[in-house]
Amino acid sequence: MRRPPGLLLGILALSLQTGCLIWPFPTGDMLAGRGRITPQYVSSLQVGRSTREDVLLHLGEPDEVVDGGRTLVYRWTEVRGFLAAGGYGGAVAIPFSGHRALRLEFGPDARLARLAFEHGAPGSPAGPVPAAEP
Amino acid sequence: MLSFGLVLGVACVSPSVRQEKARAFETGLLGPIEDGRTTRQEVLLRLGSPSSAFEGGRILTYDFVVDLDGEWRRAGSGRASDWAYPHPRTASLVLVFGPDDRLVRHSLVKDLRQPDPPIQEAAAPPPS
Repeated sequence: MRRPPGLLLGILALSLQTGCLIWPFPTGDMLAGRGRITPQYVSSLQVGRSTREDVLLHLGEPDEVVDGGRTLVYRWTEVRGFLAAGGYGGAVAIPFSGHRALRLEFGPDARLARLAFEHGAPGSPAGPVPAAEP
Repeated sequence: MLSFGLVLGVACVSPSVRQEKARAFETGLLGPIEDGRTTRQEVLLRLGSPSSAFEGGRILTYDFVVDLDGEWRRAGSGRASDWAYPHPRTASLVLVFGPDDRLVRHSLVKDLRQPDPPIQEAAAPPPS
Protein backbone atom coordinates (compact mmCIF):
# COMPACT_ATOMS: atom_id res chain seq x y z
CA MET A 1 0.00 0.00 0.00
CA ARG A 2 1.33 3.39 -0.99
CA ARG A 3 1.21 6.17 1.66
CA PRO A 4 0.26 9.67 0.55
CA PRO A 5 3.35 11.89 0.33
CA GLY A 6 1.58 14.70 2.24
CA LEU A 7 1.24 12.53 5.32
CA LEU A 8 4.89 11.52 5.19
CA LEU A 9 5.96 15.09 4.73
CA GLY A 10 3.77 16.14 7.64
CA ILE A 11 5.28 13.53 9.95
CA LEU A 12 8.75 14.54 8.83
CA ALA A 13 8.02 18.20 9.48
CA LEU A 14 6.60 17.48 12.92
CA SER A 15 9.54 15.30 13.88
CA LEU A 16 11.99 18.06 12.99
CA GLN A 17 10.05 20.79 14.62
CA THR A 18 11.04 22.36 17.90
CA GLY A 19 8.87 24.86 19.60
CA CYS A 20 8.83 27.36 22.38
CA LEU A 21 5.76 28.52 24.19
CA ILE A 22 5.32 31.15 26.85
CA TRP A 23 2.37 30.43 29.04
CA PRO A 24 1.77 33.71 30.90
CA PHE A 25 -0.91 32.56 33.28
CA PRO A 26 -0.16 32.67 36.99
CA THR A 27 -0.93 29.45 38.77
CA GLY A 28 -0.64 30.94 42.22
CA ASP A 29 1.83 28.24 43.26
CA MET A 30 4.39 29.38 45.77
CA LEU A 31 8.09 29.24 44.93
CA ALA A 32 9.37 30.88 48.10
CA GLY A 33 8.16 32.72 51.11
CA ARG A 34 5.89 32.04 54.04
CA GLY A 35 2.72 32.42 52.06
CA ARG A 36 0.82 34.44 49.54
CA ILE A 37 -1.14 37.25 51.15
CA THR A 38 -4.23 38.36 49.31
CA PRO A 39 -6.20 41.61 49.63
CA GLN A 40 -9.04 39.53 51.00
CA TYR A 41 -6.84 38.16 53.76
CA VAL A 42 -5.82 41.64 54.93
CA SER A 43 -9.24 43.23 54.44
CA SER A 44 -9.77 43.17 58.20
CA LEU A 45 -6.77 45.46 58.70
CA GLN A 46 -7.85 49.08 58.55
CA VAL A 47 -5.61 52.06 58.06
CA GLY A 48 -5.83 54.46 61.00
CA ARG A 49 -7.41 51.84 63.21
CA SER A 50 -5.45 48.59 63.23
CA THR A 51 -2.33 48.52 65.35
CA ARG A 52 1.04 46.89 64.84
CA GLU A 53 -0.11 44.30 67.35
CA ASP A 54 -3.18 43.52 65.24
CA VAL A 55 -1.04 43.17 62.12
CA LEU A 56 1.46 40.85 63.75
CA LEU A 57 -1.25 38.70 65.30
CA HIS A 58 -2.93 38.40 61.89
CA LEU A 59 0.07 37.99 59.59
CA GLY A 60 2.77 36.61 61.87
CA GLU A 61 6.43 37.43 61.73
CA PRO A 62 7.34 39.81 58.91
CA ASP A 63 10.15 39.11 56.47
CA GLU A 64 11.60 42.57 56.78
CA VAL A 65 11.51 45.13 59.58
CA VAL A 66 12.46 48.67 58.60
CA ASP A 67 13.06 51.74 60.78
CA GLY A 68 12.76 49.88 64.04
CA GLY A 69 9.37 48.48 63.20
CA ARG A 70 7.82 51.54 61.54
CA THR A 71 7.56 49.46 58.39
CA LEU A 72 6.88 45.75 58.15
CA VAL A 73 7.26 43.87 54.87
CA TYR A 74 5.94 40.42 54.00
CA ARG A 75 7.46 38.85 50.87
CA TRP A 76 6.70 35.85 48.73
CA THR A 77 7.50 34.50 45.28
CA GLU A 78 4.88 32.85 43.14
CA VAL A 79 4.64 31.28 39.70
CA ARG A 80 3.64 33.89 37.13
CA GLY A 81 3.71 31.60 34.12
CA PHE A 82 5.72 29.00 32.26
CA LEU A 83 8.27 28.94 29.48
CA ALA A 84 7.79 25.67 27.67
CA ALA A 85 10.13 24.33 24.99
CA GLY A 86 9.67 21.09 23.16
CA GLY A 87 11.13 19.07 20.38
CA TYR A 88 11.14 15.58 19.06
CA GLY A 89 11.46 13.20 21.96
CA GLY A 90 11.30 15.66 24.79
CA ALA A 91 9.99 18.84 26.30
CA VAL A 92 10.67 21.06 29.24
CA ALA A 93 8.62 23.65 31.10
CA ILE A 94 10.31 26.21 33.29
CA PRO A 95 8.23 28.38 35.62
CA PHE A 96 9.06 32.07 35.75
CA SER A 97 8.60 33.73 39.05
CA GLY A 98 7.10 36.94 40.28
CA HIS A 99 8.18 38.58 43.51
CA ARG A 100 5.43 40.10 45.58
CA ALA A 101 5.35 41.98 48.85
CA LEU A 102 2.97 43.57 51.27
CA ARG A 103 4.33 46.71 52.92
CA LEU A 104 2.72 48.10 56.04
CA GLU A 105 3.74 51.43 57.54
CA PHE A 106 2.86 52.60 61.03
CA GLY A 107 2.55 55.98 62.64
CA PRO A 108 4.06 57.09 65.96
CA ASP A 109 0.93 55.78 67.70
CA ALA A 110 1.68 52.28 66.33
CA ARG A 111 -1.46 52.43 64.19
CA LEU A 112 -1.42 51.37 60.55
CA ALA A 113 -0.76 54.40 58.35
CA ARG A 114 -0.35 52.75 54.95
CA LEU A 115 -0.85 49.33 53.40
CA ALA A 116 0.37 48.57 49.89
CA PHE A 117 1.03 45.54 47.73
CA GLU A 118 4.25 45.76 45.74
CA HIS A 119 6.05 43.73 43.13
CA GLY A 120 9.72 43.26 42.39
CA ALA A 121 12.59 41.39 43.96
CA PRO A 122 13.76 42.33 47.45
CA GLY A 123 15.92 45.43 47.30
CA SER A 124 14.76 46.36 43.83
CA PRO A 125 13.56 49.88 43.22
CA ALA A 126 10.11 48.64 42.25
CA GLY A 127 7.64 51.04 43.68
CA PRO A 128 4.29 50.40 45.21
CA VAL A 129 1.51 49.25 43.00
CA PRO A 130 -1.23 51.86 42.62
CA ALA A 131 -4.04 51.15 44.97
CA ALA A 132 -7.41 50.18 43.60
CA GLU A 133 -10.78 51.14 44.94
CA PRO A 134 -12.30 48.44 47.12
CA MET B 1 11.95 -2.48 42.38
CA LEU B 2 12.19 -3.05 46.11
CA SER B 3 14.93 -0.47 46.50
CA PHE B 4 12.88 2.00 44.45
CA GLY B 5 9.95 1.43 46.79
CA LEU B 6 12.18 1.85 49.83
CA VAL B 7 13.53 5.13 48.47
CA LEU B 8 10.01 6.38 47.87
CA GLY B 9 8.98 5.27 51.34
CA VAL B 10 11.80 7.20 52.95
CA ALA B 11 11.37 10.29 50.79
CA CYS B 12 7.61 10.63 51.04
CA VAL B 13 5.54 11.31 54.10
CA SER B 14 1.86 10.61 53.87
CA PRO B 15 -0.50 13.56 54.36
CA SER B 16 -2.05 11.91 57.42
CA VAL B 17 1.33 11.55 59.09
CA ARG B 18 2.13 15.14 58.17
CA GLN B 19 -1.18 16.33 59.64
CA GLU B 20 -0.62 14.31 62.78
CA LYS B 21 2.82 15.87 63.22
CA ALA B 22 1.33 19.32 62.69
CA ARG B 23 -1.33 18.65 65.32
CA ALA B 24 1.26 17.37 67.78
CA PHE B 25 3.42 20.41 67.14
CA GLU B 26 0.51 22.79 67.70
CA THR B 27 -0.67 21.02 70.84
CA GLY B 28 2.80 20.92 72.31
CA LEU B 29 3.44 24.54 71.48
CA LEU B 30 0.14 26.11 72.52
CA GLY B 31 -0.83 23.76 75.35
CA PRO B 32 1.04 25.53 78.11
CA ILE B 33 0.31 29.03 76.75
CA GLU B 34 -2.61 30.82 78.36
CA ASP B 35 -3.63 34.45 78.10
CA GLY B 36 -3.63 36.27 81.45
CA ARG B 37 -1.53 33.60 83.10
CA THR B 38 1.61 32.73 81.17
CA THR B 39 4.52 35.07 81.94
CA ARG B 40 7.28 36.30 79.68
CA GLN B 41 9.82 34.44 81.79
CA GLU B 42 7.99 31.15 81.30
CA VAL B 43 7.89 31.71 77.55
CA LEU B 44 11.56 32.56 77.33
CA LEU B 45 12.53 29.58 79.45
CA ARG B 46 10.43 27.26 77.31
CA LEU B 47 10.96 28.58 73.80
CA GLY B 48 14.28 30.38 74.11
CA SER B 49 15.16 33.61 72.35
CA PRO B 50 12.40 34.93 70.12
CA SER B 51 12.87 35.34 66.38
CA SER B 52 11.90 38.99 66.70
CA ALA B 53 10.76 41.48 69.32
CA PHE B 54 8.62 44.58 68.73
CA GLU B 55 7.63 47.64 70.74
CA GLY B 56 10.34 47.25 73.33
CA GLY B 57 9.77 43.54 73.76
CA ARG B 58 6.03 43.84 74.36
CA ILE B 59 5.44 41.64 71.31
CA LEU B 60 7.56 38.54 70.70
CA THR B 61 7.45 36.31 67.64
CA TYR B 62 8.69 32.76 67.17
CA ASP B 63 9.07 31.41 63.66
CA PHE B 64 8.74 27.75 62.73
CA VAL B 65 9.17 25.82 59.50
CA VAL B 66 8.21 22.30 58.56
CA ASP B 67 10.72 19.99 56.93
CA LEU B 68 9.91 17.78 53.98
CA ASP B 69 9.48 14.90 56.41
CA GLY B 70 6.80 16.84 58.26
CA GLU B 71 8.87 17.71 61.32
CA TRP B 72 8.45 21.24 62.67
CA ARG B 73 11.46 23.16 63.90
CA ARG B 74 12.44 26.67 64.86
CA ALA B 75 13.45 28.80 61.88
CA GLY B 76 16.79 30.55 61.89
CA SER B 77 16.70 33.84 63.70
CA GLY B 78 17.00 37.06 61.80
CA ARG B 79 18.87 36.04 58.65
CA ALA B 80 17.84 37.99 55.60
CA SER B 81 17.33 34.86 53.56
CA ASP B 82 14.92 33.28 56.02
CA TRP B 83 11.93 34.24 53.94
CA ALA B 84 13.12 32.24 50.96
CA TYR B 85 12.34 28.76 52.19
CA PRO B 86 11.84 26.48 49.24
CA HIS B 87 9.08 24.76 51.13
CA PRO B 88 6.63 27.41 52.20
CA ARG B 89 4.95 25.66 55.10
CA THR B 90 5.57 27.92 58.05
CA ALA B 91 4.02 28.97 61.30
CA SER B 92 4.59 32.06 63.34
CA LEU B 93 3.72 32.33 67.02
CA VAL B 94 2.98 35.90 68.09
CA LEU B 95 2.83 36.70 71.80
CA VAL B 96 1.67 40.05 73.21
CA PHE B 97 2.48 40.84 76.84
CA GLY B 98 0.91 43.34 79.18
CA PRO B 99 2.64 45.74 81.57
CA ASP B 100 2.85 43.01 84.19
CA ASP B 101 4.72 40.79 81.72
CA ARG B 102 1.80 38.42 81.49
CA LEU B 103 0.49 37.24 78.14
CA VAL B 104 -2.57 39.19 77.00
CA ARG B 105 -3.02 37.97 73.41
CA HIS B 106 -1.43 35.32 71.25
CA SER B 107 -1.83 33.86 67.80
CA LEU B 108 -0.34 31.02 65.79
CA VAL B 109 -0.33 32.12 62.16
CA LYS B 110 -0.07 29.14 59.84
CA ASP B 111 0.07 28.74 56.10
CA LEU B 112 -0.91 32.09 54.64
CA ARG B 113 -1.49 30.41 51.27
CA GLN B 114 -4.99 31.18 50.16
CA PRO B 115 -7.07 29.23 47.64
CA ASP B 116 -8.29 32.33 45.80
CA PRO B 117 -6.52 33.66 42.69
CA PRO B 118 -3.28 35.64 42.86
CA ILE B 119 -3.45 39.32 43.52
CA GLN B 120 -3.91 41.56 40.52
CA GLU B 121 -1.63 44.41 41.55
CA ALA B 122 -4.36 45.83 43.73
CA ALA B 123 -4.52 46.89 47.31
CA ALA B 124 -6.99 48.27 49.74
CA PRO B 125 -6.29 52.01 49.69
CA PRO B 126 -6.02 54.02 52.83
CA PRO B 127 -9.20 55.89 53.57
CA SER B 128 -9.03 59.57 52.87
